[in-house]
Amino acid sequence: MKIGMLVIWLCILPFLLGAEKKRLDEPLSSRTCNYVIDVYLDTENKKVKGKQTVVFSNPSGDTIRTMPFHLYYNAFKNNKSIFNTGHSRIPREIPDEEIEQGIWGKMQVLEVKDAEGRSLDFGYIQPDTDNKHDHTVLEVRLEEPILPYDSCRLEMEWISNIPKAKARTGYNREFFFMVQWYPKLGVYEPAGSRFAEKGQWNCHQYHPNTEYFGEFGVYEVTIDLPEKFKTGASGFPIKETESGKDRKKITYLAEDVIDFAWTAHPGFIEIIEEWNGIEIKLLIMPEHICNKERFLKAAKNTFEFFEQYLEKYPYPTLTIVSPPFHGLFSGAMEYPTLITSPTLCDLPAGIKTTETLTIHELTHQYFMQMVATNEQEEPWMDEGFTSFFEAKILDKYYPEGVVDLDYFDIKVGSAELRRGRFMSTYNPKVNPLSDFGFNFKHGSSGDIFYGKAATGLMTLEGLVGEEVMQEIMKTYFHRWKFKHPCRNDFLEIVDEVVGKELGQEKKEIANDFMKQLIYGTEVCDYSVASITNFLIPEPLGYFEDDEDCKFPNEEQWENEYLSKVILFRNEGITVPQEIRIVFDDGSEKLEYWDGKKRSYEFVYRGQHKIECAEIDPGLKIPLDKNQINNSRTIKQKNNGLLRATVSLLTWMESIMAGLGTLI
Amino acid sequence: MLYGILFSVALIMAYTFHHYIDDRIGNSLMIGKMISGFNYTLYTDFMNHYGVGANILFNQNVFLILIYLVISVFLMGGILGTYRHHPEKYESELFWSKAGSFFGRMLRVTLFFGFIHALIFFIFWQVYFMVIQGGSPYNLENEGIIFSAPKFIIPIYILVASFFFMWHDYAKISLIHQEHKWVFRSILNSLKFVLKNIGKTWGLYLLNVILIGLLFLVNYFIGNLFEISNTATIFLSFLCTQIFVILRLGFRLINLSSANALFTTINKVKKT
Repeated sequence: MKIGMLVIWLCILPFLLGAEKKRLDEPLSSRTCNYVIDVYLDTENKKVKGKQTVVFSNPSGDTIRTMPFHLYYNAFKNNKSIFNTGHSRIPREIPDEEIEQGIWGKMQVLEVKDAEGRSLDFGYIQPDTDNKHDHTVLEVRLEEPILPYDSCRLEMEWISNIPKAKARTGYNREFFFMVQWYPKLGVYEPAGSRFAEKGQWNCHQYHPNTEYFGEFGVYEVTIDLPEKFKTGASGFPIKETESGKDRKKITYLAEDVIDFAWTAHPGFIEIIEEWNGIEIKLLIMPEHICNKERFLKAAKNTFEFFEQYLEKYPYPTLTIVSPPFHGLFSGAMEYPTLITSPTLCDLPAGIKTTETLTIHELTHQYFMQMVATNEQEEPWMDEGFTSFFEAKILDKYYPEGVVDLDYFDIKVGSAELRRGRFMSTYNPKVNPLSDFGFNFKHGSSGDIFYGKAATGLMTLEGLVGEEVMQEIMKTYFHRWKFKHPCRNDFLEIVDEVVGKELGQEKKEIANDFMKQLIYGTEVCDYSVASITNFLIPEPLGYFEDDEDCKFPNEEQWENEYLSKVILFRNEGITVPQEIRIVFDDGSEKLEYWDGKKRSYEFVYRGQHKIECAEIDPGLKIPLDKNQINNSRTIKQKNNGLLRATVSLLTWMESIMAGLGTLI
Repeated sequence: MLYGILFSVALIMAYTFHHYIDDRIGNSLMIGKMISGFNYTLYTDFMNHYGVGANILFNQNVFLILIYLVISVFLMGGILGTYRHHPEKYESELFWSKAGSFFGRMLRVTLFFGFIHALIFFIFWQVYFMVIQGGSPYNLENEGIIFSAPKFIIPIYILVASFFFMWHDYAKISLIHQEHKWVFRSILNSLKFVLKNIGKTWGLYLLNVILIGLLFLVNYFIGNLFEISNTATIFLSFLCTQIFVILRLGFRLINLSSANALFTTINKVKKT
């Protein structure tokens, strides 16, 4: 018996020592909501049985009488849920076979008890709609209210049917991707925080085109599953033991996070590397192993970038899950210290999808995991910020572009790809960024959350300069990490930093621009409407100051021109503009226009004609929807058009010669 | 002449494109970005704001391509007629009379084989689609088959399709030689001929296919030798591509003339 115990201890000792090293020295967050969860994964019947202890600390001076929990799996419980009836870019078709077999994902809370062991009353509520078929929010009614700054402990027991391959979650074959899988408490917002005028719970139903919002805490999760499965999860493993025949129990600990996700598949290959004290664990399928370095390099580049730009990644681990092809439903997603980044086995090196997804999802660790904005109410504050940084990182570390197809001479950078996608969206004016995500009912939501916001932030950077932008982001991050900011908090920091660094005038410009960006639906377009050069005629005839008639004097008279550039503002957004004006002797003038009026002109009198004019020569305003009309020249000096024409001619010849084979 | 027609049709397309771009955005400094090749921002902004005209041009080009194909059908009779009669010097009268008298029949042969080629392609596409089970993550264990299947299916397709393309060529040759009014007689006769002499006919055809493949490879390498950055390199690149186009057309004619020679030789031997 003693020898057996010794062997067990020797087995788990390295685990414990390693885990101890990974624990955070000090809490990073308020740890308002902590979970201890025991879960049993039934891989045969695709069910999860769970028990959890939730300890919630009231962060306010309010007395709280109810506690709402997200039951996200219930989005897949019937075909009348908001998720299944709402608008979305996410496909939600349920295969006929599943309907016939009655396969519906769902979560049923069996019992809720308080710290005194009393069974509590609970029921479904619909905070956003009157759709009674939607069971994605459960309200627990407390016997004893939670007093100001006091805490409350609940014991919950539940059982779930894991949905088959649904948006972001579920199973397919032997791949289990367990996200939004447990009853998750909403966020309590004390009066004055975010948009709360009085203390309130923030716990929306599960809408199709929005994501999540969670409270910071510590998760200790023990997963009981068949031994053959390899797992990955938020945080890091602290204990692994046997559990009956061919089963094991793994306990994970994740500290100062807003959620907990895990995955399991028997076929995962586990690759572990360390970068600057951070353990990077890549769970990858054998057929994708050729892309291993692409994931790891992208992750290391991102860590390096943020260490220089904002702050070192504070968690001890990062798990990258590259799902199997049959697990693509998990998408490219972000969860605390765990991200998914799909890849394909024969993905060409010139297509940087693997890198883009890894960098994007890893950037989310900063924006919405650490700076925990509300993805349902303000999706642009995480997707837009993340896309802004994604473009910066990719363009820095992969200057050849995210699409680099040599043969076709195609090279596209990340920032321009993001801008182009937004500019090509169906209707860029359909909703303002300030709308809740689930109010984007008529399309273009993704392009606006991601593209408009990122391009807008790039424009802000153009207006204030890279250094001040970094200062804004740093201040925002340091002030709001491990908290829940909203757009007002960011705008306040923009004002503060720009005012301090660049003065009152620039502060007003930045503030005005950000308000147009967030609250408005207008777009931006400036153009050079015309360039004219009038030859001023020589004075001929009689003039008041001279009695003699003036005759043409070619020797003394030098040609003089009255030159004019007319600029137009074609759309609603106003931003100040720099204008470069080039004269025919090669001299240049850099002018400034506040961009407010609908039209504006610059007039010059001199011996040289204007040759060309260019709005925004430094490309500081990527939000301008048409960069082609930003410039105008009297005489095209470049052979760009000739090249394009020759290319078209030869392509057409090739196509016709190819089709000629059919004759 | 074939090259001249091909070039002229492409020139009409390029001219209208050039004129449209010049008219719409010719005064923009952004045009300069075209010198280094494809520019994504220029492309998206152009399509978003001036794309209506580009779509009209595209439709016009499709129509011009169809016209080119009809002209090619017309010329085919003349080309093969000249091969058959093998005059010591080029005889334009012979060429145009054969082109005119065989146009209708050549068109019917082209339509028939157009259907056959489409059918063969469709069958192979269906096979691929079945092998990859629709490419759905719900059905496949992994995506390997999506990428590995073409490695087998494409070579088999090339082999099979080349047989039908070859049959197509011999049908036209047979039509010219035997001057049947009813094209299906020529089609059937050519099939019998091809099957009887499968080693020689298919061997010759595959050799020509390989030569064309080599030509593409050479073009690819030459295309990557220099970067286009000014007028001189634009013209150099233009010259290279024109040589490549001429060689492609030349190889096509060599392919037809060699098939014609084989057809004539085998039939002569049979008669003697």
